[in-house]
This record gives sequence, structure tokens and C-alpha cells, in this order.
Amino acid sequence: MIGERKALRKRIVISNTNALEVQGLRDLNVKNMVDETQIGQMLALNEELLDHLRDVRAFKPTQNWNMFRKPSTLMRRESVEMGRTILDVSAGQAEERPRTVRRIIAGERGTGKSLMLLQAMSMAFLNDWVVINVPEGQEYTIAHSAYAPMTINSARQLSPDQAAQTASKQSQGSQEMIYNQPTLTAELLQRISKSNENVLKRIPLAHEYKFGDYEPKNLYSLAVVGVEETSLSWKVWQTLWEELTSPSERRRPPVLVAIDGIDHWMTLSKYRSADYKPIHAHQLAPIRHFVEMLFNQNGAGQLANGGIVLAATTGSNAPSVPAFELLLKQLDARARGLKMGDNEFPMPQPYKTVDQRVLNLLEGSAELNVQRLKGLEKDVEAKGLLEYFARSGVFREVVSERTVAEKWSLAGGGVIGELARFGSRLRV
Amino acid sequence: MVFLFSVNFPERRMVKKALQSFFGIGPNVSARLLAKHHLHDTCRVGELANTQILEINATLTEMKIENDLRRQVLGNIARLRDTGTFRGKRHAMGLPVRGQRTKNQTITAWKLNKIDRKL
Repeated sequence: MIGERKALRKRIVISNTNALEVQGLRDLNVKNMVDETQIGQMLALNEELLDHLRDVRAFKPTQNWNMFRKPSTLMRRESVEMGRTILDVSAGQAEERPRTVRRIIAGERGTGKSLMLLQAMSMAFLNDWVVINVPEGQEYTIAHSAYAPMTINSARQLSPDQAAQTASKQSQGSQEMIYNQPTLTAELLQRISKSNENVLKRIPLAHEYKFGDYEPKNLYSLAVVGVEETSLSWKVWQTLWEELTSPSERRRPPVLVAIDGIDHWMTLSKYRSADYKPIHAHQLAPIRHFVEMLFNQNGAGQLANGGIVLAATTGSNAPSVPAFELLLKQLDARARGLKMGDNEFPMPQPYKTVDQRVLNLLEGSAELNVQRLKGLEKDVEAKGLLEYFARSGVFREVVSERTVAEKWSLAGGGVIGELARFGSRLRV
Repeated sequence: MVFLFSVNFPERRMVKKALQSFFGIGPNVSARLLAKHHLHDTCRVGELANTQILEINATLTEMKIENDLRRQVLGNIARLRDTGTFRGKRHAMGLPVRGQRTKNQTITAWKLNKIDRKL
């Protein structure tokens, strides 16, 4: 059967009845997501939230959801801080002072970047935001999905003669070729429409649109047009984004944009142009749109109804992109107060070519922070995690100060992925 | 079932694989063909639009592949023989052409170096 093995490989098992039920496990809700006393506690995700997260592809097959009875996440200091940011942005939208928070979440492998995105998405769903998720940045650059050239100013697809004309213009160096990715955009719209169905159905459109035979009435039906007609998906996405970020009298909810694996977007993609030159990721329209949003190029990062743009790097699947590493260092330096001309400001090595497109992103991104995730804190967070594992019957040792300290050190200073591995190790 | 260059391919076949089944198209040429028509690496033959199929067929008919190419190669070998060159004589005798040793390891030459080589 076609696709059977793939479905088996990519399946997400959320619950395991062999695990013990943990008594006293509370659900994540609007109150305890900002409660500092909950740091070190595991909070469960309720059924409704699970449906949203599944539809938006927040879970990954390599995560260990299939070892516990009820899916839950650990509240870290960073999680509570994220909760506070979300409530602040919500309040800002209600009080007509929209605030956009843009952040890159970086860190070593296993430090919990993807789960930080999942927690942010959960909290956003709880607050009735619109959540847009790109679960694998890699999908956009490995050339496994359709692409087509389009001119930089227009959203319409080109016919072959027009494509040839713009190709010749491009080879003369006067215009950069941007490429559309209709199937991936349609999948994105499918995720958005399915997971945010209730919220989007309640939002009417500010203007009237007509796409062929379709006359959408609200944001949900607008997104569905792009799902059903792949050729219209990019236009629909642009319209949807304009609608979501248009300041209107009818209140639009804030938007959370979560991108996982942004390293793949900072280098050449596997696509080739018509004259067989590699296409840079920034020439792909969806990637360009998100990158301009994250780095606030041409003001694209200011969301009129408020919102948060989060991008996580990958630890285990990262391509080597020196320009992006340098960019992160430059963002760190700027956060510490250094400026471009200072002695200690990280600059590219002389006599080495660096990707200028990536370094140019530094200019507009004034409020972009890089949050570097480190290991868990030993006495509260790591202990809480191991206690949960022990209560579920997965961790077989006694959770004492000694064992917690031992596992914490072995996990490289409490790196949560490694700690989870030690917590679920089979003792023979 | 889609017709590329008058050969029928099942819809699940990848375009890259289908193109490489022609004599004269290998991984390099097929990659360039895909790039020229803006097709991604894992595009299936069933996913091609009619206009794209027509364009690919047009490009294939312009290229020298299959029988045209075979004729060219055999013509080259025949020309070498007809002009009485050393290489032509080696082809006729079924011996190595490119200056290899003839004491041992001449099996491939004996099998392949012919005037009427089967391609």
C-alpha cells in the first residue's frame, strides 16, 4: 500500500496505557502558565489542546510522548516567562497598544527548543490566538516539493515565455528570481485552517475577495480556498496574512508564528534555477516571507494586532552555516550593548567569503533577541522531571538528592533531552 | 500512464528515473532537464501538468538521444576504421584502444571494442 510505511514511521503515539497514572497532575491553563510556583511541575495537556497541537503538527515522532499515560510538559523558568509574554501581548492587543515579540531560540542539541515552541503554541491556543507553525524548516529547502518562478513584485504565476523573459533578465543581473512553493503553502494553510478553525470562523473578512468560483466569507473559508486549489495557495496565503495583520475595528487575535529548524533557511537550498544555478533559500517566497517577518525587514515584523514570532534552530540536524552562526553572535553582541564599529563586535573573517544575504538581516532586526536554552536547574526543574518519570513507572531508581545530582551531571549539566534519556533507561 | 518521448511510464515513476531510462540521459543531464522545467527532485510522472509534458517532449526531441546518439557513436567508430587510423584497427581487432596493456586484462576490450558495437 502506498504510504503505509511512511505513515507508520511518522506516526505520533501520544499516550501509553502501560505507564502508571500520575496522581495530582494538573492541566495547563491560563492561570498556571504564569505561576512561578509551578516551575519544576509537569502540567498536562488537555484533550482539546491535544487536538489543536496534533493538527498543527507540534509533536514529533522522535519525542518520547509514547512512554507516559497523559502527555505533559515541564514548566521551566523560560516557560513561565513565555507565558507572561503571551499574556502581555494579549493585554496589549486588547488595550490598543499592539506589541510584537520576535525571538530566536537557540541552544545545544536536546536543550528543549522544539518543546519550548510546543509550550508557546499550547499557551497561545489557550488564549485563543491564531497559531501558525512550520514544524520542519527543512521541508522547504530539500527540493521534495513543487516550485515555480514568479516575479518579485507580483503574486501571479508566470507562463513559460514570461518565465524565460524574467530568466534572461535575471541572468543580466537586474532582477532576482523569486520562487513560489504551491504545495507547501497549501499544506501550511491546511494546518492553519484545521487547528484554528473555531477562532478563524468567527473572524469576518475586512474586504471582499473572489478567487475563481470561491467567495470566502470568513478567514476559515479563505484558508480553505488555498487548501483546495493549490495553484491559488500563495495568493490566498498573502491575503490571509494581510487580513490577520490588518488593524481593524473588529478585533483580530494576536498571531503566534513558530518555526522549527531555521538553520536550513539561511543557506542555499537544493533547488536549482533554470540555468542550473543553486537557489538560495531566501529566494523561495514562503521562506522569504517568514524571514522578513522574523528579522523585521521592510517593517514586515510589526504585526498590527500584536503577536510573537519564534524561530528555533536545530541541534541534531543543523547544516553548517557560518554566516548564520556569525549572525547569532552579532545579535548577542548587540544585546550586550556593542555596536557595529566596536572592536569586540563579531565580524566575518577577512579573506573568507560569507553569505551577505544572511549578514544583511542584522540591519532591521532591532528588537530581535536570541534566547539560548541551557540545562535545567538542578534542585527544582530536574528533580521535578525525574519525579514525574518515577511516578509514571519509567524511572526505576529512588529520586533522592544524590540520584538527581548524578543524572543532572551525566546529562551535561541538566540538558533536558539527555536527562529524559537517563530517566527512561532500561535497568537490566 | 504518461507518454514521454513516446515511451509509456506508470504514474508513480519519478520523472528523474523516467528520463534516465533513455540512452544518452544520465544523472547530470536529467538534473539539468528538471531544473530547466522547474521540477523538484522527487516529482512523479503523474504530477506533471499537460503543458509540462509537452515542454519536456519538445526538449527531448531537440536533444540527441536514443537512436540519433547510437548512430553518431557507431558512425564515429566507422569513420575511424574507414580513414585507416590506429584506433580504427584496434576497434576492428577487438583490442584495447586507449593504450592499455595487452598482456593481461583485455576481456572488456575483447567484449566491447567492435565496429558494430551494440549500444
